[in-house]
Amino acid sequence: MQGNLSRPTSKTLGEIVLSIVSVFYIVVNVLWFLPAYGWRERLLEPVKMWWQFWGLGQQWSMFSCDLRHFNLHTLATLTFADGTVMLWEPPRMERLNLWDGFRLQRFRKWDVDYLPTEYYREFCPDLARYLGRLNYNPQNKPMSFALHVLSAQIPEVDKVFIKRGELPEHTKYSTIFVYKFSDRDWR
Amino acid sequence: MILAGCWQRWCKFWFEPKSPLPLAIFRILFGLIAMQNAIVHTWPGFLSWYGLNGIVSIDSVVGHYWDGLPRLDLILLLPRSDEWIIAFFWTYVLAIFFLTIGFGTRYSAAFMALALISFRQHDTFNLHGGDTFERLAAVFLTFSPAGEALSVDSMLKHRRIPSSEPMRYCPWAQRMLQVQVALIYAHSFVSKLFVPQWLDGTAVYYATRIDNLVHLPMSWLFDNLAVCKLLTWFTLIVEFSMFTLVWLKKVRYIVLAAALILHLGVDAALSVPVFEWLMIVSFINFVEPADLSRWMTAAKRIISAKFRLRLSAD
Repeated sequence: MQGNLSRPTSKTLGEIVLSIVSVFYIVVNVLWFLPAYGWRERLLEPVKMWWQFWGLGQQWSMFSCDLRHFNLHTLATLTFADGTVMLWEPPRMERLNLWDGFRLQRFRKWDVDYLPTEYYREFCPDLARYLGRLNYNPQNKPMSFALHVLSAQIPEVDKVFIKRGELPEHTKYSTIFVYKFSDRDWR
Repeated sequence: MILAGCWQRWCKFWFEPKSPLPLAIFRILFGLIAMQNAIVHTWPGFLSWYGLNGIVSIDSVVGHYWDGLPRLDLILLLPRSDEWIIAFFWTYVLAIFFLTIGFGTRYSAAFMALALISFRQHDTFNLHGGDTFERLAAVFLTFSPAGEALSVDSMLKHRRIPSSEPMRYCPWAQRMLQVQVALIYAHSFVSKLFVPQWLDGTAVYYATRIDNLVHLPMSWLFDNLAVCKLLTWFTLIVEFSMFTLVWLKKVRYIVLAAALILHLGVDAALSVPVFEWLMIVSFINFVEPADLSRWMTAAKRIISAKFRLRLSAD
């Protein structure tokens, strides 16, 4: 029988450690990508806290489960003490020139992918206070804030083939959040 | 015996020393895109996102997003003032600049990674795929020899220790960057398999009708259902190949060329700039250093020949 029973060198040890890190990274990410099955949650439980602490979480399901069949944008209204209503619209990419649309990309993502979602409702009071503060006038205080979504269905391709330049206006309207300001908001 | 063979092949893949040239070129292009992302996209309205009186308060983020768990957020360690947050941002931009020129490369990459993690934790609603990739890539660059070529660090090192030998380094971090890219395509591909529109070929029709994503209209291409279907299936084939066939040397460059066409097409049609560019530059990590050197030499020869021709014409 041949063989050398030599002690592992520090290089080999380093390779073993890095191999473990590599396999661990791949396995955790594959689990991270899976739907929230019970067993997946149990397997991820011990690492979840540290994974999130270091910002290692990732999702790449682009244009798949979130492939939209409708277009939308949001619109906020501030109602002041004297009854006037102010409209506030996040930048709309389709109405901006190429440079401004490029520059303000982050607002597009926020306006369409985050603001209208159920998850964002928890943060809507913050948005209300933010806009209220920006437009605060002690003689005519903002009284309420409302967030609306305007949308339009993209016609089903097997019924009507719509051209890219002929998309319908966003005419379907719904109010998704209302907030009444109190004096505490201005402190 | 079989196990030992597997371990050897595994070690060869992850640890056999290689030239740092692809990583160095990736570092430079990655840095330029990250700089653009920071200055052009993040700086406008910076305080609306991260300021003390921003759209979302940090108390709400901690209360609703952090789920009562600890998160790394260096911004919270700063004195509570907008000036400090702005200073943090410009230090981050400086770190990107240093990373790009390869000065204190590992430290610059580490600071960039920590800053990106902090921005992510501080306001989760100002985040896109490009930011996520930047964050993860910066982590791997911290552990990489990306500063060992085409950098101020390597210039200073060679001045101290002159060497004519081409330097080779453990490519583990470069492999991790490759694996990260493959994971992106794998997740993207598998999630698409559960969406009927990707299978029946109409996904590109719907994706190109999202009005706030329209970049260049390109009606001649996308106003044709057959083309939309072909492009849908082309996307699936490319995404599948980018985590499977890309590992085979024989077909790697064909796969990368197809993926390049896909990303250039998406960039022209849809407005998702940073992510597409980052994906394209990440392909450099898949190129063999010898091929890269050959292409660079050929490019240099062509440029210098043109320059000489112009000079002689003048």
